[in-house]
Parts: sequence; structure tokens; C-alpha cells
Amino acid sequence: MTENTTRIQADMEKQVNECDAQRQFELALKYVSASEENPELALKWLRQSAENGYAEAQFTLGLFYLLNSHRRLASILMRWWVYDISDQAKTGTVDSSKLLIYCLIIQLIVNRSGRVELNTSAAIENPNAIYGFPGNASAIKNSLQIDNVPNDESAVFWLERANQQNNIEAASWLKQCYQDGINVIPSENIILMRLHEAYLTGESGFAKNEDIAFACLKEVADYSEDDVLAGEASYILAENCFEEKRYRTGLGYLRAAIQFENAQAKQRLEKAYLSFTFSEFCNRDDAKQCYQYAYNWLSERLKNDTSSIELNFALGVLLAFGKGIKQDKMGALKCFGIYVEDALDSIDGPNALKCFADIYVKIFGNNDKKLEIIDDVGLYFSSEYINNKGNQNYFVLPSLVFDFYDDINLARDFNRRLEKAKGIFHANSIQRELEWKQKYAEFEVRRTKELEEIMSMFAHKFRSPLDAIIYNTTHDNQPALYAEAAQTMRGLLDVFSIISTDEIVLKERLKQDNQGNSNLMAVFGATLDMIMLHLLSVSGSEKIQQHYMAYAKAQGLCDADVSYKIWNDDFFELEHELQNEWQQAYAHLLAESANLATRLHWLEQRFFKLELKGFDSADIHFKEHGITASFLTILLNEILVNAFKYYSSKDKQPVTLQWLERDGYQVLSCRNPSTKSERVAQKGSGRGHTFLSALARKTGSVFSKPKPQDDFVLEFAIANELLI
Amino acid sequence: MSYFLWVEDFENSPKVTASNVFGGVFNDDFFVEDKRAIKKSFKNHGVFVELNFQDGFGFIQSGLDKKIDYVILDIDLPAYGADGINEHVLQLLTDFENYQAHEDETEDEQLQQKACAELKKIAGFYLYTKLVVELGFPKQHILFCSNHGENTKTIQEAFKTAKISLPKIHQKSDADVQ
Repeated sequence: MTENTTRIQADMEKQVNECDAQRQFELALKYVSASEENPELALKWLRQSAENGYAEAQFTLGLFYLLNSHRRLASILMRWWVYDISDQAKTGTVDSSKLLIYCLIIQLIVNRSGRVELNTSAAIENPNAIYGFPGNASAIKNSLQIDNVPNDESAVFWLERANQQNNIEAASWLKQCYQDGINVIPSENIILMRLHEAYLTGESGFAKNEDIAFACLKEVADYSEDDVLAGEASYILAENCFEEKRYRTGLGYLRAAIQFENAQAKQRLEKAYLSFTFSEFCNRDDAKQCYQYAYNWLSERLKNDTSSIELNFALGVLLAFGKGIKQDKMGALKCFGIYVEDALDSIDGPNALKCFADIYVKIFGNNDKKLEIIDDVGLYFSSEYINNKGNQNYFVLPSLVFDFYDDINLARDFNRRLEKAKGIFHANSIQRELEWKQKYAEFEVRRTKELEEIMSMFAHKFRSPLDAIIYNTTHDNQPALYAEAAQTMRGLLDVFSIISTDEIVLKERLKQDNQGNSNLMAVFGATLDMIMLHLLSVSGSEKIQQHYMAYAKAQGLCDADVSYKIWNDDFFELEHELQNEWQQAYAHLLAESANLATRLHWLEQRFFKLELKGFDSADIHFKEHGITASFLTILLNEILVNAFKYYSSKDKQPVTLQWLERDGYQVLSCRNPSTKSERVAQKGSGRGHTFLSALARKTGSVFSKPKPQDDFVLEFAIANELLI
Repeated sequence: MSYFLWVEDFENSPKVTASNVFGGVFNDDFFVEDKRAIKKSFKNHGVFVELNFQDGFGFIQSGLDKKIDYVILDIDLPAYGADGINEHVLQLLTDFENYQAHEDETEDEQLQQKACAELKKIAGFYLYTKLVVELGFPKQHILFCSNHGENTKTIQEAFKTAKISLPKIHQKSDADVQ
């Protein structure tokens, strides 16, 4: 530098010193450039500019002081800023503050510490020239703070001054530095955690940068002495790794987070184990009861099969997380330990169960060995799997689930998922695989049978309105009767259609159908007429043969000691006559719109007394021919037809049909006098009761199948919420 | 004139079933919907109809002296009719269908029903065995007429297991039947 140049420079500085804060800031920039490198002078002009009220200088000075005070933070930012500065240089839009801080830190701290030689201008022009930069980061972090640079308070002082002049970046940094609005700078770890969030979301003043965000977290996770923060940072890092499918690293952080007692990490671990082992149970509302069932089931099975890998593993999971049994980490370690130590040799290569067992043992068993993880296991720790189970499920114990699902449709759905799932079954698990296949085959047989029952009942229930239509066609031909029969058939179709597809829909529709003009008495009357037209037809006569024979005997139309065989051989023509006469008589009653009392009286003369209790007082309303009416029609049809088919009473005991409310249910009961000879007369296939059982299961109702005895009682209880 | 025993429960339409089997022999007037009327009218023409296993079994035990020439058997037959079960069928249930009388009436009724349901599926075979093995009735004069074509394989296996030569099985789909 010549004397002339020095004089010019001194004059220029004097001029700048006196009036122009912006020029002072530019002068500071000038003294960090490669040709004029003089960081002390640069810092002097930066201070001068700040003191003269130049906002950018105030922000730059404040941030420089902050970074000087927090070298771990500085080391992270420097690493990324060099790339930013280089990119900006190429487009001529260099961020002056960032450039100035970067150069000051490198020149004042790194270079002075003698640890790294760095050509700053080369770095600015070409980032590839920054050889060994990780060393620089470390050097920054480990450097002693230079004596004459103020600390946090000064940093905040200048950032606030800049903020007062609406400097956006200053405001953003202050937000990170102030703890909950109080003018106190938090610990560096907290600043790092906040910066993670700021860079991750791209908060105002921070360009979105996931690399910086996670570098901040990693710094806290790896070096923080605050266990709570370290646990939190480790957990967030673990989550991030899982989402990026870096399962091995993710599990390392998860283990660290758990060791720091992070609650979320423990929860994630628990969810992963439960989702994997009990995927059918873990997201259910009644999961607690499911785990209790699983524990009891496992305990029973283990009595006879103590060395089973899957049984021990599943029990270990329940013990580990206190599901269905009190939490017992030692017990869990024992279960998993058996697996890890004894069973591995018999299995080719690592597998999912082994990895899960290994992870638990190494986290909770004071085992510092590296986790052995395969990607298939890591998958179960991702939120994608835990929250949204797809077709990648593993099923450890399908037979447990089959036993739990004592319902054909549930078991069927489960089997669909099972077929799609990846198998975990290895050589020693083939037996279990066979078990579930056998179990499923049994369910399929039951399912087919139930479907057949439903189809059969469907056809059966159609007979009544069909017989009514046929009779009407050849006799009175009343349009109203056609319409009634058609509406009934439509309602039956509705119910059967819903039952065979979605039972939840059936329940919802029953719940919603609670207003309208129809009621129990109306449904009873219509159902009675429909079944009478069916039973009194030619095709129905065999079902009620005992009534014709009893009537003939009572009226002296045949001897009192005529047996069934003789009746069938010699009196079937008389039966035809009675059938024809009764059919016409009942149709006549309907044509005359005879009231219910009249129809019941007519029935009593020929069949039995039908006592109705509670029907007229039940406060239940629904739409005519709606879903509830159809549902009740099916029930009443089945119950009433059975009453006629199996009735037998020497002293003419009545049949009692009762409606009552009991324990939150609307109960329909039928007390039916009978004798063994009528019950065993093989008038039915027994499908009616199977059908009522299925109907009860699908609607959450309770069906009490009657015992075959001389005064049998059938009950069907429907939850109040479905009818009221 | 040849005499027939036809054991058939007419589970489906009596008119259609009777017409399918004897349509080539009797006029259409013979075929009605009431199986009891069919039984009565067929009897006058040498065809004795029994409607369940128990009655068929009883006829075979006591009625072969009526010079029955041919027997037509359904396979799936109800164990007994409206008169209730008799001691012969009960004994058969005990001997071959694992039925054991129970002291509790309700329980006993259920066990009996279950055994009867099992017997129903193969009732015609019991009658065949009774006719051929015990009474020496010529097997060439026995015809199974069943609507349960799905059981053809089971039938073949059953005969094979019992070391009885398999009867010729005609199916509805066979050209000579059609």
C-alpha cells in the first residue's frame, strides 16, 4: 500500500466516519475481501455503522456477537452459509450480512486460532475450494471466544435496535433468542431446537433448509447435557429417519430417545411392537379387552407348548408394555431372550421377530451392542405403518385372531388380509400356518352354511306374500292386497340385501327409522294375515296338519283315535276340504276388513288362542314398510309360523306373544305349548333358528334359542337404541 | 303285472317328481301336488309309495311277500313321518349313527334329531343294504332315483369302501337319459 493510497483511504474513512452509516457498512465489507483483508478494521466499521443507526449493520453485528457466543450454532450455520454465499455470488445478489459475518468468523476466529488455513475469497468464489470444511466447523466450535467481542447481551442489544427499525431478519432471530417473550436468552440447546423448527418450516426470516434444521437437532441429540432436550431431539430425528426409510439410523435415535426417557419415543416403540404383533387389536376401541383375551389365550397355549417362538414373542410384547397383564420388563426380556439366544440358530438369517426381540433386549437389557436391524422391521416403526396399516402386515399368531373372531364375516375379512400379508412363517412355524388355514377352512364352511341359511330364509319369507298374491289372483283380486304384498316383499328385499352386505348400515338405518305412522300392532296384524294366507294355502297345509286333524276329531269328522298315518292315508281329502274352506273364510275376513279381535277369535276356533301382551302399549313408531317394519315382519313371521307349526296342547293352552322392555332391550317373547311328537315331526330344517341367531349377531340383539320342551319360550331382544 | 316299491319323500314338487319317474307309464291325471293322493292312486296300479325311511323300512321288513319286483329308492329321506319314530329306527340310529339315549329328555331329543339328520343323508343306502344283503333282493331290480347329483362321488366312495360292486349311475346330463 503506497503512502498516497493510505492518505486517500484515511480521507475516505474520515468522510465516511462523519456522515454515512451505509458507507461505513460497505467499508466493513471491503475489509473482509481477499485483497484488503483486515478483520479488526472491518469489525470497527461495522460497529461504527451500527452505532450510527444503520439497521443492517445492527442486525449483522448482533448476529455476529450471538454466533461468537454460540460456537456450536456458528459451526452449523457456517457450513451451509458458504454454499449460499457462493450461489449468491454467481448471481450478483450476495447477502451482505451473511457474507460479513461469515468472513469475520473465519478471519477472526478460525484463522486466528491457527487451526485451519482458509482462503475466504476463494471460498466465496468457489465453494469447492473450501477444502476440509468439516474441520473448520469443528475449529469454530472449539475455538476460544475472542476477548474483545461482546456476548449475548450485546447480541440482543443490537438485534433489538435493528428490530426497532423493522429489520425482518433481526425480528426472526430475536424470536428464537427470547424465551417465551421474556428478555432472557435461552440455552444454546433451546436456540438450536427452535432454529430446527424455523429452518424446517421456513419461518419468516429463515429460508427453508432441512439440512440446517436437522443439523441443529443432531447437535442437541449428540452433545446436549440436558436429557429432556436430547431425548426430544433424538425422537424427532428418529421420526425423520423412519419417514426417509433410514430405519437403522432411526432406531439408533429411538433407542437414544428412550434412554433419555422420552415419552413419545416409548410410545412409538410400544405402538410398533403392538402393531406388529397384534395388528388386529391395537387400534380397536376395546383393545384393552383384546389384550386381556390375548394374554389368557397365550397362557393357555404356552402350558402345552413352552418353546414356541411366536407364543413367547407375543407374551413378551404383552409383558413389555403391560397389556393384558401388569408390565414386567424382566419377564419380557426373558421371553425375548429365549428367542434371541435359543431360536436364532434354527432360522435362516435374520427375521422380523428376531429383530424385534433384539431391539428390546438391547434397549432395556443393558446391552450396548449395535442393533441388528433389517429394513422389514424398520418399516413397523414408521408412522405410515402404525397409523395406516396397508397390505404389508405381518401376522404373528393368526390362530389367536381366528379364535378371537367368533364371527364368520370378521374371520373372513381377516383371512383376506392374511392372504395379502407377507408371511413371517419360517421352517418352525409351518405348523401354525397350517393351523390358521385349517381354522379358516372351518370358518368358510360355516360362512357357506350361513349364506345358505340366509338364502333359504330369503326364499322362505317370500312365500307368504307370494301365496297372498297367488290367492288374490284367483279369488277376490283386490288391488290393495297386491300393493301390500309387494311392499312387504320390497321391505324384505331391503333387509336381506343389507344383512348380506353391511350390517353396520342395517343398524344405522334401524336407528334412524324411529318416526312414522306405523307401530307394533300394525306390523303384527299385517304379518299375521300374510302368514295365514301362506299356511292356509295348499303348499302350507302340511305344516299345520295337526290343526286340521284336531279340528276334525273335535267336530266328529273322524274318529278320535285316528293316527297321523291313518289321517294321511285315508283322510287327506277331508284335510283338503278343511284347507279350502279355511282359506276362503280367512280371505273373506280380510275382504270385509275384519278387525284384529275378530280375526284372532276366528283363529281360536280352529287353531289356538293367541294372547298378545304389551304390543299396544309399546311406544315404538316407524315408517310403514320401512326398514324397522320389515325387520319386525321377518321376526314375527318366523316366530308366528313356528307357533302354528309346533303347537300342540290337549287342554288348549294359549300361545302368548309378549313385548316388553328389559335391561335396555325391547324383548319379543313367544311362549308356545308343544309336544315332542310335534317338535320332532320334521316340519322344518332348523334353519329358522340359525337365521335368527345370525340376525341377532348382525344387529347386536340377543336371541335365546328355545329348548325343546313342552312349553318352550323363544326370546329375541333388540337394543333400545335401534327402536326408540 | 309288475309291482314296485317306491320310497320317495317328494321334497320338491310331488307332481314333477312323480311325472319324471312314471311319466312314461301313467297318464298326466295321475300326477298331482298332494303326495298322499299320489300314494293312493299309484297303489291301485301296483306302485307302493312310502314317504319316509321308517315307512319304507317297515314295508321292506313286512311287505316283500307282496311280490315286489322292483324297488325305486331316493337317497335323501326323512327318518320318519308325523307318527314319530319307532323302535327299529331308534335301534338303527344306535347301531350306526352313534345315538345314545340320554336320561334328560331335552338332551335326548336333541341327540335324536342330530342322529336323524345324519341318517337322512344316506337313508336310501340303508334300505339298499337291507334289501340286498339281508333279504337277498336282486340288486339289478333296484333303482336309485335321487335329486342329489352332487353326491355321486360320495356314493361311489361309499360303495368302494363297503366292497360292494358299484351300481350303474345315470345322470340327468347323460345322453341316454335325455
